[in-house]
Amino acid sequence: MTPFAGLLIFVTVSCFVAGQILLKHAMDIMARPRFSRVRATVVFATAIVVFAANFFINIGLLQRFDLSYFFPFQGMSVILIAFVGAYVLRERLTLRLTIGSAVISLGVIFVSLS
Amino acid sequence: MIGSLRHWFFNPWVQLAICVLLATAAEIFLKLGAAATADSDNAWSWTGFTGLRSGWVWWGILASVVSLFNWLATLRKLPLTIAFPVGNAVHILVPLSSWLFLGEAILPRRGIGIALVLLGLMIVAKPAASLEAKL
Repeated sequence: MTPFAGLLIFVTVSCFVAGQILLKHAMDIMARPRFSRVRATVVFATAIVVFAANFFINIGLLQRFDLSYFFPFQGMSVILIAFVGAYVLRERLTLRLTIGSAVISLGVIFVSLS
Repeated sequence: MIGSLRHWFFNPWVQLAICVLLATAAEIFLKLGAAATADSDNAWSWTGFTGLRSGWVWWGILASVVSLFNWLATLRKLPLTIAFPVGNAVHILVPLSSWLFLGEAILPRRGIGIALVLLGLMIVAKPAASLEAKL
């Protein structure tokens, strides 16, 4: 795997995480009794753009890599969500999250070396 | 008869199973489409736009969209802390399907890596889903 491909994998996983968080944020805005339609639309549209970027970069990567090679990298999205969640919510990462993240990272290293 | 069938179909566990199967199918379709349009000499192919020329990619998009609706239907009745760990079954099904339908060789190092990712996801699934639900 070239550094550029590695960078694209990181970007696509980050886009997926950002898209999920933005989509949820848009839903939360719309669930309020009084909400700004403009703000909800902007957040929702940004989520769609970010998901589209994730989708097209995925296709570009799948044109070069086996699915069984590329797919496990998506497990990193869970680590990113956990870290972003802990940072935004100002919660400490639990021991279970830390161990699980380390195991996923080790798995991704094994796959990237295969 | 139709009522009970409808009741069965909208059971959240059935919706979750359909969601996982469709998400797996989407990955296989997208890979087939990507392989059919692969052109490593074209620098623009990194953007993935060339993939839209393949009908497989459109099937992949359709499967992804329907799977998203199934996921939303699941989350209406099941908490994320339960649905998310079960949904990780896709991390078993995709490599299995890659081997079965795409003929990809899963050598020991890759197999160990996939198993470790799966183990890690099982460990973090519940706390990660709780954090995501609060986000």
